[in-house]
Amino acid sequence: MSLDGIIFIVYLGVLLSIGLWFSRKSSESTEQYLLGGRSLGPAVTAMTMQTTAMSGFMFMGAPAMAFQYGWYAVWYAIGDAGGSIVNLSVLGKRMRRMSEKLGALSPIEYLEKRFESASVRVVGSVISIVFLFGYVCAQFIAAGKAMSTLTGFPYEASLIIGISVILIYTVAGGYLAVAYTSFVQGMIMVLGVVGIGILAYFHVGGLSGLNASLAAIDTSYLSIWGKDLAFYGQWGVVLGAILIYSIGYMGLPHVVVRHMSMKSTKTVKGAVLIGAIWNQFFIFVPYILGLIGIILLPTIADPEMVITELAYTLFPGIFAALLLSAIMSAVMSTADSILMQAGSILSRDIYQRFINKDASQKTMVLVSRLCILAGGIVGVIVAIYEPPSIFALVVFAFGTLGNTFLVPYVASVYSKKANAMGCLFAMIGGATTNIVWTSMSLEGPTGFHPFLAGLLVSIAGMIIGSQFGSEPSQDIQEIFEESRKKRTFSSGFDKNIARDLAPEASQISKLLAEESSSYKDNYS
Amino acid sequence: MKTLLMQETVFVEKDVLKGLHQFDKEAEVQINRLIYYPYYFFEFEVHAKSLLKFNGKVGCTVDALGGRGAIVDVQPEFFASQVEHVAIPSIVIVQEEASKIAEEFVFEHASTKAKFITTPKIKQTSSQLFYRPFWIAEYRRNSEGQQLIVDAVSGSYHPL
Repeated sequence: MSLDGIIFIVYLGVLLSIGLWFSRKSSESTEQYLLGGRSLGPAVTAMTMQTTAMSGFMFMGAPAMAFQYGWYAVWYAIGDAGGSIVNLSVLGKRMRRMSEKLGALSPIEYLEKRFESASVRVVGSVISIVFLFGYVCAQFIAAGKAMSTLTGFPYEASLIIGISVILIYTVAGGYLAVAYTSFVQGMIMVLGVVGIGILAYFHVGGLSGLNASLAAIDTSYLSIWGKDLAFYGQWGVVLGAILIYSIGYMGLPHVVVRHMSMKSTKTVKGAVLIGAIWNQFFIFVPYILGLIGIILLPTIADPEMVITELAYTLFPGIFAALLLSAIMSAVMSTADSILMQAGSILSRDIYQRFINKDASQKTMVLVSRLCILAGGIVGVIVAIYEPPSIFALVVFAFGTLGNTFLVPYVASVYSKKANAMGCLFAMIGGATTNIVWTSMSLEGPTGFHPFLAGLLVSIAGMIIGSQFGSEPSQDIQEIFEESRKKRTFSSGFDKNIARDLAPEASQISKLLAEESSSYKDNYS
Repeated sequence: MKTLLMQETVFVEKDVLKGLHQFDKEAEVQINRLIYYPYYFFEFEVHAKSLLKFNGKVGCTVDALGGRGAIVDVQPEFFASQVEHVAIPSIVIVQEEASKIAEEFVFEHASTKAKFITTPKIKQTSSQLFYRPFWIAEYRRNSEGQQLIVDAVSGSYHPL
C-alpha cells in the first residue's frame, strides 16, 4: 500500500481514538449523556453542522461542473449561497407556525397532517427514499474515486474498499460521530480547501489572471451561457440552475427530532450565524477551483478529481493525503446519515404503517438495516457498472426531491384551498417530469432545465388537483388562518422564539382557555 | 399546600423582563404569573454491541400533558419544594404510559442516531415526576398584545 493509504488508516485510527476517549468520558460521568447533545461551543457546533452538510458533491461534483462549463457553473453556487436565506424568508415563518400547530415532527409528517391524507405520506416517503439512495450512490462514487487516489488501486476495488470503510464508519458511528471528531475533520477540510484555493488563486494570477488564461483557451468559458455557449439564450436553463439549490432545499425531507434543551439556547444562535457566514465564504471555492483546473490541469482524465489533483500539485504529499482523508470522511458522514434516514423512513412510514402495524422495535431495526443493506448493494452495482457523474446524479436526485416537495410545502401555507389531491398531483407530476426530462435529455431541445420543467408541472398539478377531492377540513382552515396572521412582535423578538417550546405553549394555552371559560361559567 | 419535585427558577421576574427587553426595546412586557409544568424524567442504561461494546446512560423527559419525548443534554437537578397559589396543571399522561413513550423514544433515538448494528438493550433505572417553572407574560406593542410563556430555567420564550 502507498504511503497515502497508510496515512488514511492512521487518520481513521486517530479519529476513532478521539471518539472513544470522549465516549468513555461521557459514559463515566453522570453529567454527560452520551446520546444527547453536549455542551459544545458555537464554533464546534457550527463545524459539526457543516461537515454533516458537506458531501462528496462539493469536492468532486462542483469543480467538475465548473471545469466542463466555465463560469456558467457559478449559477448553481449563487443559488446554493442564497438557499438558506430564501428558505427562511419565503417559507420559514408560516411553515414553522403551522407545523407547530399541527404538532408535526418531520416534513413528511407535516404534509400528511396538513393535507389530511395517508397517501401523501406514502408517496412522499417512496419518492424520498428512492432519491436519497440516488444521493448516496453519488457519495459511493466519490468514495471510490478518493480511495482510488489514496491507495492506487483500480476504481472498482477502491469502490468496494471505500464502501466497506463507510459500513465500518456506520457501525462504529456511535463513537466516530462524536462532535469533536467532526470538528477536527471540518478544520482539515476547511483549511485544506481554502489553502488550495488561495495557493491556486495566486498561482493563476488572481481573478484577472484566471479570466485572461481562460479567455486564451476559449472565450466562451467566460460566458454566463456555458462553454461553446451551450445554453445561449436559454433562460429556462439558467433559472433552473439558480432555483434548484436556492429553493430546492425547501423540498428536502429531513428528520427533525425535537430536542429539549436544559441549557441556554444561545449556542445554537451563534452556531447558525457562524455556519451561515462560513457557508457564503465556502460555497464558491470548489467552483473557482474547477475553473483553475482548466488552466493548471487541462489534460486531466476525470474532471471530478480536480481538487485532489490540485492538492497533490500544490501541497507536499503527506498534506494532500490528509486532506483527501478528510474529504473521504465528509463523504462517509453524509452517506451514513442519509442511509440511516432512508432506513428509518422505510421501516416507520412504510413497513410499520402498512405491512406490520404491531412490529416490535427489534423487527423495525432489522427491517431498517436490511433496507439500508439492499439500497447499498444496488448503489454499489450502479457505481461499478454505469457510474454517472457525481454532479449529474446529485442534480438529478436533488432536483427530483425539490420538484416533489417544494410546491406542496409552499401551497400548504399560501393556499387555503390546496388539498390532498392537489398535493398528490403536484408530487407525482413534479417528480415524473424531472425524471422524464433528465432521462430523455429534453433540456437541450426545449431550453428548459429539468428542475424548472418539473416545477411548472408541479404548480399546474397543485392548481388542477385542488379542484378535485374534498376541501381542507374546518380545523385545517382555522390553523391556516392562524398561521398567516401577522404577529405583533418585532422581527428581533420573533427570531428568538424558541420553537421547541411549541408543545408546552399549546398545552398552556388550552389550560388558560379552560380556566377562563370556567371563570366565566362561575360568574355568569 | 403541595410538595413538588421541581427545577430551580433560574430566571426570576426581573431577569425575564431584562431578557425580553433586550430583544425588543420598545415593547411593554408584564409578568402575570408562574405555572409549574409537569414532566417525567427517565434514566436508561443502554447496552449495545457495535465494533466495540457500549454501555452508557441516557436521560429522557416526557411531557406529562402532551406525551412528547425529548432527549436530555445534561442531568437536571431537582429539589422538593412546597408551593401554594401557583397553577399546577393536572397530569394527562400517567407514569406507565410515559415510561413506554420514553423507552420507545430512546430506542428510536439510539437506533438511528448512534447507529448500532445490533438492537440496543435499554433498561430503565430511575423515573421521577418533576415540574418546570414557566412564566406567563403579556407582550404589548403598538396597542396590540400577545401572551407568552417564558421558560424560567432556560429563559427561552414562545407565544401562546
